[in-house]
Amino acid sequence: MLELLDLSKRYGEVVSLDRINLVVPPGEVYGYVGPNGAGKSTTARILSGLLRPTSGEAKIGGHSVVTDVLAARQKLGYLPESGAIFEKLTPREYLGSVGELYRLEAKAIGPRIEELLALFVLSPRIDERMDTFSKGMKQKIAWCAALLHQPEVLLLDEPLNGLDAEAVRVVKDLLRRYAAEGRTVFYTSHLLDIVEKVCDRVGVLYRGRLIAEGRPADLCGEGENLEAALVRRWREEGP
Amino acid sequence: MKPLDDRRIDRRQVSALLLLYRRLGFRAARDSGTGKSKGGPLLIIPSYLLFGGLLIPTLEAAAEARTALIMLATAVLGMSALTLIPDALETQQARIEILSTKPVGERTFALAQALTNLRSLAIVVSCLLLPGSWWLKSTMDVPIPTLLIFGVLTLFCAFALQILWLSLLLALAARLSYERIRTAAQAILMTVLLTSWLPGFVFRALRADDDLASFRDAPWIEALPPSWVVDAYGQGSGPNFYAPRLALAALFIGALLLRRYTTTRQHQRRLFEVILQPPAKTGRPSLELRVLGLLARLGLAKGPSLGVARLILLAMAREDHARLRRMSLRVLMLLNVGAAWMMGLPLMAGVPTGTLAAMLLATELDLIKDSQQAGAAWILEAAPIHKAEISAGARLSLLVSFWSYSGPLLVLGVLPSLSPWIGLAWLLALFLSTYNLLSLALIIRAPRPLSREPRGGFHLATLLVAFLFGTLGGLTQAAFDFAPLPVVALLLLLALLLRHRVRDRAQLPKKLAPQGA
Repeated sequence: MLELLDLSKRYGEVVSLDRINLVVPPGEVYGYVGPNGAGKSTTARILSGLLRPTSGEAKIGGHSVVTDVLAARQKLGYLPESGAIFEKLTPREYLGSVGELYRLEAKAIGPRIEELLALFVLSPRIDERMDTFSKGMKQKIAWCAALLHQPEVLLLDEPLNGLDAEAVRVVKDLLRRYAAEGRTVFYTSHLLDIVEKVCDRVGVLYRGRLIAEGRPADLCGEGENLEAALVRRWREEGP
Repeated sequence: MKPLDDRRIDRRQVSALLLLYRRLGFRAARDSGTGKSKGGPLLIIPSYLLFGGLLIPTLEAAAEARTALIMLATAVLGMSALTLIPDALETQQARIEILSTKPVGERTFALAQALTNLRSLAIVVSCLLLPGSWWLKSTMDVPIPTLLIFGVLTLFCAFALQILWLSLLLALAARLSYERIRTAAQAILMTVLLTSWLPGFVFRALRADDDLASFRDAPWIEALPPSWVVDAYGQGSGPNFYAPRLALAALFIGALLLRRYTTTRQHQRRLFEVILQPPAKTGRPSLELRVLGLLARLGLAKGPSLGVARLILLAMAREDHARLRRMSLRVLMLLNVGAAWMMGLPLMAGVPTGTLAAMLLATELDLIKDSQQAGAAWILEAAPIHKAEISAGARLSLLVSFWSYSGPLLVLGVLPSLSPWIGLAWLLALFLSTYNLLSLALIIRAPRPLSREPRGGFHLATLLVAFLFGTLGGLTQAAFDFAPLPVVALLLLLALLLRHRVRDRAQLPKKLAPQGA
C-alpha cells in the first residue's frame, strides 16, 4: 500500500505539490500523470525518501518515508526518472551491490540477477561494462535494480524512457503480474496511451494539485481517449 | 530480509559500499562511443610523486629536521586536504538517487564514506610524502620509524582537514551556487599544487645560501596542525608534550562528528534539493566570450565560424575537464611571468618564449576536441556548415582563448625588456605566429571540435604535437632575434596565404548554399 496524506512541497515561494491525498491499495497499478513540471517527479522523490515534504505525510507499506525511512525503503523498488546506474560496473557487479545493500540472502542474489537479465534479454552482457551500453540497455538494468528484491511497492518514474517495443511489452506483462501478486505499482508518466492500457486507476496532476482521479474510462468523455480527455482538462484549468 | 536498525552499523553493507566505491573510484572510465579506456585514476600517482619531489627544494631551506618536517607536513596537508572536491552535479545526483534510496543506515553510510576517503587519501599522502621522506632520511638522518609515524599522523590530520574543507564547500554551495563553489575549489587546488614549490624558490631568492629557516622561535607555528603532527610523538612529559596530541585528537574527533553530520539523511536531502535547483542564470560570460563578442561587434568575426567559436568557448568554460586543464596552463604562465618580475630578469625573452607560446597553443588545440557531452557534437556534423568553417571557428576560438589570458601575460613578461619598436614588431610576430601555426595545424588535420570524450593522463601524440609546435615557435623566435623585420614580413605573407586558403575551402558546396543566394 502507498499513501499520500495532505502532502505538500515548497521550494521557497514555489509550490511544487499542494495538499495531495491519495491511497493506492495492494494489487493496483496507479497511473500518476501530468504535464511537464506538474510535480510527478517531486512526488516520486518524496516517496523514495530523497526529499522531505514541507508538510503532510507519505507512507510505503504503512511506514512513513520520513520517520521510518529504512523500513519504507526496504519495501520499495524505485526506478528514478534519470535511470541512473553506475556505468563503470558490469550488470553482475552493479546488481550484486544492490542486492548486498538490500541484504538479500547471498546465495539468492546470483540466480535472481540471472533471472532478471534473462527477462530483459541481457544475459549475454552480464559481465560487460555498462558504459558502452545503449540508453535502452541501461534503462533495463535500472529496471532490474528496482525489481531485484521483489519489492512490495514499485515506484516508477517515467519507466519506459529508451525501451524498445519488446521491452515495453515485457514491462506491461510484468506490471500486470506484479499487481496480480498483490503488490502496489505507482507509475508516473506523461505517455498517456500506455497509462490508459496498463493502469487500473489514474490520478491527474496539474501544477502541483490533484485535479482528477478515477478509472481511465471514467475520466474520458464520449469518443475520447485518455490523452484527449486529459489535455482538455488541463486546458480547462487555464494557464 | 531482516529488519534494519538505523542506529546499528551493518558490516555487510559497509563491505558492499567499500567494494562499490573502490570499483567506482579506481576503475578507468571508457569512451561510450569507442569503448576505449580513458586512463585510470591511478594515473594521479606519478603526478603526486612529482609534486612531492618539487617540495625538496623547500625542505633544503630548513635549518634542522623538525623545521623540515613542519614544512613537509604543511605542504602535504594543504595539497591533500584540497583534493576532495564535490562531484559534478550529474554525478552527485546519480549517486544520491542510487544509494540514498537503499535501506542503508546513516552510521553505516558514514563509516563506509570515511573509510573510502581514508583509502584515497592514503594514496595521495603517500605519494606526496615519499620523495621528501627519502630526502629527510638521506640528508638529515631522520629514522625510518619516525618517518612512518609522521606519515600516519599526517594522513589522519589530512583526513580531518579534508572533511572540514568539504563541509565548508557544501555549506557554501547551499547558499551560493554549487557549480561556482566547485570551480573555486578546483582553482584553489590547481593553484596550490602548482605553487607548492614556490616557498623554497622564494626563500632561496631572498636569502643567502647559508641562512637557513628555523621554526624554533616562531610560537604561532606551534598553534597550527603541521606542528601538532610533528610534535605528537616522541618521549617527554608536561603540558607542552601533551598539548599537540590532544589538539590532534580533538581535530580528528571533531572531523569524524562533522562527517557523521554530513552523511545524515537531513543533510543529504538538503544537498539533493540544492542539486535539483541549479541557478537558471549562468552568471557573467567568461572573458573569452566577451572578447569574441567585441570582435563580432567590430566585424572581425562573423558567420558560421563565429557560431562554432562561441560553442567551443562556452563548452570549454563550463566543462570541468577543459576548465581544469586550461586553468593549470594559465596558472603556469602566471607563475612564469611572476617569477620573471620577481627576479627582475627578462626570463621570457628569447627562444623559450616562442616555445612556451606554441606548446600552450598545441595543448589547447588538442583540448577543443574534448567534451563531456561528446554525443552532442552531432549538431556540428548535421548543420550545413563546411568543414573549413568549422576549422575557422576552431582557430578563432583558440586565438581568442590564447589572447585573452596567456598572450597578454607573455607580452607582460617580455615587453619591458625590449625597445618600443622591437617590442611592437615582436608583438606582431607573436600574433602572426600563433595565427599561422594554428592555420597550418588545422589545414593538415582539421579537428572535430567537442566530439571526443575527455581522456585522462598524457598522450604521446599530444606531446609530439606540442614538441613540434614548440620547436617551430622556438625557431621563429630565434629567427626574429636575428632579423626582426624580415621575419615579421614573412609571417604576414604566410598569414595572408593561409587566410585565403581557409576562405577558399570555406565556400559552401552548391547543394548546401541557401536557395536564391
